[in-house]
Amino acid sequence: MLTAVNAIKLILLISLGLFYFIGLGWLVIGPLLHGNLFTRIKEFQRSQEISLMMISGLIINYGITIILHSLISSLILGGILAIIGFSCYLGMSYKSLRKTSLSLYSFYKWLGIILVASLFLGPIITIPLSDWDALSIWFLHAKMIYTAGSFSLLTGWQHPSVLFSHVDYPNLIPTLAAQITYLMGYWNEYLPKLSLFFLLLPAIILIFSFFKRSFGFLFLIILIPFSFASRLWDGYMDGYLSLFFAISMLLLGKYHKESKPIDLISSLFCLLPLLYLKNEGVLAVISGFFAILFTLLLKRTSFSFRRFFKNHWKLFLFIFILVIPFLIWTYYKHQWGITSDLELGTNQSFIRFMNRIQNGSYKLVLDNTNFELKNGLILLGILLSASIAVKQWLPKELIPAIIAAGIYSLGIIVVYMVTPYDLNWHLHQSVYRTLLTVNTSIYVACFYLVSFLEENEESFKDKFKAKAY
Amino acid sequence: MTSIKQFVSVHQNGLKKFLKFLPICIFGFIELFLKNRFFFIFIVLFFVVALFLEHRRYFFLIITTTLIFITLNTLAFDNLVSFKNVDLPFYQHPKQALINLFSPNSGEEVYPSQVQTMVSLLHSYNIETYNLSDHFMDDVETQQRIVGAAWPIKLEKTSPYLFIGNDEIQNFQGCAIIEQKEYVTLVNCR
Repeated sequence: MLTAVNAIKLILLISLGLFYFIGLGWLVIGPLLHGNLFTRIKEFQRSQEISLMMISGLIINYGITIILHSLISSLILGGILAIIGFSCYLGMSYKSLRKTSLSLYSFYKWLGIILVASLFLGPIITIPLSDWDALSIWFLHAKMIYTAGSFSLLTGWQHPSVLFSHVDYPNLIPTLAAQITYLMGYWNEYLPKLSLFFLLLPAIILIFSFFKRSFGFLFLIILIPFSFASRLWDGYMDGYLSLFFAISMLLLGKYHKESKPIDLISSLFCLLPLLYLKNEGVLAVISGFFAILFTLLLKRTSFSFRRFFKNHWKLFLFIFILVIPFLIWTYYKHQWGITSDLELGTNQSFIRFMNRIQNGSYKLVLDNTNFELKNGLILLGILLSASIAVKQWLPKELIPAIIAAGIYSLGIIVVYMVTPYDLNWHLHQSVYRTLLTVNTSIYVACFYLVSFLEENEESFKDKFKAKAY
Repeated sequence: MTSIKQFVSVHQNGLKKFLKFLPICIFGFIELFLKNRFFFIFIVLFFVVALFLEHRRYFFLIITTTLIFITLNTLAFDNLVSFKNVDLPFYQHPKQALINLFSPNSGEEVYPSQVQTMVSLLHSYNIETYNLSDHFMDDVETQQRIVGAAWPIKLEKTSPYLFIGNDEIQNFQGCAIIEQKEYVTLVNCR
C-alpha cells in the first residue's frame, strides 16, 4: 500500500513538474513561434516545441524565484502563470490535434523518449547525493535555499563557512531542487535530485528529434548521452552543460543542412540554460554564438545584420527575456560582494598566464587536454578518413561543432593557464569534466560524418538496385 | 602553363588521390605530434583500405570499427551496465527506493561516520552553532560535509560548542565535555 502511495506521489510530482514547465514555457514559445497563445499558426515538430517550452519554463521559474526571492511566492506566481500557459496550450493542442493523427514514426519516437527517460529516472532517484561537488556545491546551495525558504541574502551566501562552495556559481538546479523539497516539506539526499530529471527530459526529447531507423541515430544516442550517462545522475552540472552544448551544435548542423528556422531557434534555446548551469556556461555560450554566426554567414551569400535583426526581433526579445535572470544574478553577485575564486581578468591572472608560458607549464595543460580529447579526435580521424576516401568534400554540418569545440577548448586552456590554484591539482580535479563539452562536440561532428557515410551507402544501394533492374 | 594543364589532365586520378591523402596526412601528423603513434598508423591504414573499397559498399566496416572503438574507448557500455544494475532492482522492487525518496533525512549514510555523529549530537542538544578543532578543520572532507549535513546549524569560529577528536581531549582541559562518542567528542568551551 505504502509503495503504491509513494509511486502515485512520484508520478504526480513528475506530472505536476511537466505541466508547470510546459505551462510557463508556452508563455514564451507560443508568441515566439505562433505569434499568439491560442492558435497554432505554423507546423513544427511537437516534440521540439515541447522541449523548447520546458527549457523556457525552467529559466522562467528560476527568474521568478530570483526576482521574488521567496520560494512560496515564486511557486504561487509560477503556478498561476503555468496554469494560464498550460490552459492556452491545451486549448491550442485540442484544436490542432483534431486535424492531425499520430503517425507510427511519432509513436516510436515517443516510445523511445519514454524508455530513455525511464532508464535515467532510476539512477537519478535511487542513488543518493554522494559525489564531491554535488554535496559541496550544487545541493549544498539547494539546501541553503530550501532552509532559508528564499533565494536572497538570507540564504547565507556570505557566511564564511560556505565560501568553499563557489557561491558565485549559477543556481538553476539548486533553486529547482530547493523548490521540490520545499513543496514536499522535507530535505533528504534523494528527493532534490529529481530536479535533474526535469532538466534532462527536454534534452532527451531534442535528441529524439534526430530519430530515424539508422545506424547514425544509434551511434548518436550511444555517444550522447549514454557515453557520459553517469555524469547526468551524479549531481554534477558538467554533464548537463556538455549535453545541452552538444544538442545545440547538433541542431545547428541540422539547420545548416535543412534550413528550418525552428532548428536555429532550438539551437539558440539550448545555449541559454548553459548560463544557468555553470560559470563555464558563459564560455560555452560565446563559443556557440560564434558557431551560429559562422553558420549564418556560411549559408547566406549576402548577409545583412540589419535585415537579420529586423526579421528576427521577436526571437531576440524573448532571448533577452530569458537572459534577464542571468543579469540579475550577476547584479546580485556584485551587490553582495560574491566573487569568483579564479580571479579572471585581473592583473594577477595576466601575470600568472605569462609566467606559465615562460616556465613551460603550458605543456602540462596541453598534455592533459590531449589526453582528454584523444578518444574523440581519433574517432573523428577515422571517420574523416573514411569520408574523404568516399567523396572529395565533407559534410558542412560538422563545421559548427568543430568551431565551437575549438573556441571552447581554447577558452578552457586559458582558464587553466591563469588559475590561482596549483596547476597540477586543478587539472587533476577538473579537466576530465571541463573538456567533456569539447568531447561531446567532437562526437556531434562524428555523428554528421557517420550520417554522411550512411547516406552515401544508401545512394550506392539505390544505384545498385537500379542497375539490377 | 600548358605543361601544367597537361600534367593535371594526365595525372588527374593520381592528383585526386593525393589531395584526398593530404588532409589525412595532416591529421595523422597531428596524432603523431600528440604521441598517438598507434592511431596515426591506424588512421592512415584505415584510409588506404577505405580508398581501395571506394567503389564497394564498406559501411559495415565503419559500423564495426566505430562500435569497437566506442566499446573500448568510451564509458557508454559501462554506463549501460550501471543502468541495468540500478534500473532492474528499482523497477522490479521499488519499495525501498520510494521510501528513501519520500522520507525526511534519508540518505544521511552518504556522510562520513564522524559527520553523522556530529549531526546527531547537534540535534540532540539543540545547538545552533558549532566549531571544529584544527584536527577536523584540516580534514577537508569532514569540514565540507559537516557544513552541508548540519546546515542551517552553522559552523562559527566564535561558537562555544566544539567538536574535537577523542585523542585531543587533553588539549581542551578548560572545556566541559558534553558527550563523547566513538569518533567525536562534543565540548563546551564557554
